[in-house]
Amino acid sequence: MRPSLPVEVFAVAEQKWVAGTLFFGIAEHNLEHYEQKWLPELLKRRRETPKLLKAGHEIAAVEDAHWDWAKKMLREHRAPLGFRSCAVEVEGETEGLMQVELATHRSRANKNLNLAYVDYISIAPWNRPWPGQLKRFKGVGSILLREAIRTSMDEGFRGRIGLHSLPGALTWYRDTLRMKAFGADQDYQGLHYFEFTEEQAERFMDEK
Amino acid sequence: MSKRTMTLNLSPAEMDAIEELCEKKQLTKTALLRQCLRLYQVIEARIDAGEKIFFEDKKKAKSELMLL
Amino acid sequence: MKFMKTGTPPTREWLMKAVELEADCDISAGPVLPVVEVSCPASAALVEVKREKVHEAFSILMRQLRLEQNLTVEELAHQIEVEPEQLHRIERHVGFKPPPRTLHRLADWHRLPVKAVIQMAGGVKRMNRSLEESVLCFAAKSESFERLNSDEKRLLNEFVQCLREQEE
Repeated sequence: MRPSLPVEVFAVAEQKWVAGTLFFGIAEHNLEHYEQKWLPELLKRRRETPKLLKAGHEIAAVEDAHWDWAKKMLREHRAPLGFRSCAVEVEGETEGLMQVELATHRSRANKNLNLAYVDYISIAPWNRPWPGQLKRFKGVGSILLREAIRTSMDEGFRGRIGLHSLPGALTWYRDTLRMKAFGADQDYQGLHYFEFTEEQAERFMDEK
Repeated sequence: MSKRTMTLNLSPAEMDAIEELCEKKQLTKTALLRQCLRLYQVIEARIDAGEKIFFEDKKKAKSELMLL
Repeated sequence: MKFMKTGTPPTREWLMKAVELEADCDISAGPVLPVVEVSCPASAALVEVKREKVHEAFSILMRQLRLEQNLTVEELAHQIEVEPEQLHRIERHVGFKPPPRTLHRLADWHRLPVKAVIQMAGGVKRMNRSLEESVLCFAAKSESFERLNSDEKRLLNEFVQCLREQEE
């Protein structure tokens, strides 16, 4: 049995909260869901993107259809202390996946300090914005990010986290969460790098 | 899984090194040792998988870290 | 499981605030692969992960069985007439594939079915499914300690019994 925490997510169409579970560790069926349910939808959206852009919709390209979850799980298996992965499930379906790296990343705000690096965070395609479609659930991404911060706190990193945002998620990390921005990282496919400082992390976690 | 406790026998120099690193990294001794172990495991796993480790100086010259 | 979390779940109030903040944003982060189609399916990794776990279980099993008999590696190597270095490498779990003769000797000595031992040691690509399940269950619960406590002994005995029941 994987350890877990009960969580709730907001079902947009039904306008109600539904029970879900945050599982620690990514299981075989999570990868199967990614492969059999997420991927076909992600690839379909990728194909539809040029047409929708032409029609004037403001959408970001579907960039994470090619994440190599296979490789990610293998490296975690080989060095389990270096990683923490988790999955959010609702009614048996995988709604979000995340892998955090703990061994090798340092804070760019203070080079002496370690942080929890969010190597990959992704939610099911039906929970993302898309023209003509309501998101199925809201809250999955926040639950995962909260878990990354909690992991950082557990490991003595005081809530510090870092991540490379995909272009489609820039608004959230830069404008909504106002994470400390370090600009485009030329060593990392030009993706923008962000950090939560200890104080920002604490504010994000604040239950009040 | 329950946590286990281990007694370490370290020389004064080794203890000093731990104290210094704890201060520099702002970590408790337990957190520091867990971090060391984590880093050690990640490096070993990558070496076992046939990868090499390099250091790069300011002029971008690479030198391989030889793990014999 | 490598760790146990003891944190508290987010409150409804926190979630309401988070959902409001999320609005219509996406949250994906991480590097992208510059390929058009996925070349390696996620399930391929599972096969590899399982193979490594089975191999690890084999190392633990060999070590535990030797410890149960109060033998050193050298003593056991002498008894079954193989090089001690081979047994060291098997027990250290370094992805070592032992020669068939060593596996036969080990199977005979520990009274285990040769076929199961060869499968665990990575000698065949496809493993009998029921054997794989028992091996993965044993691997998940066992660790490589100097001495076995009563629970670990019970687990070991149950696993050995299950192996012996495998068809030859």
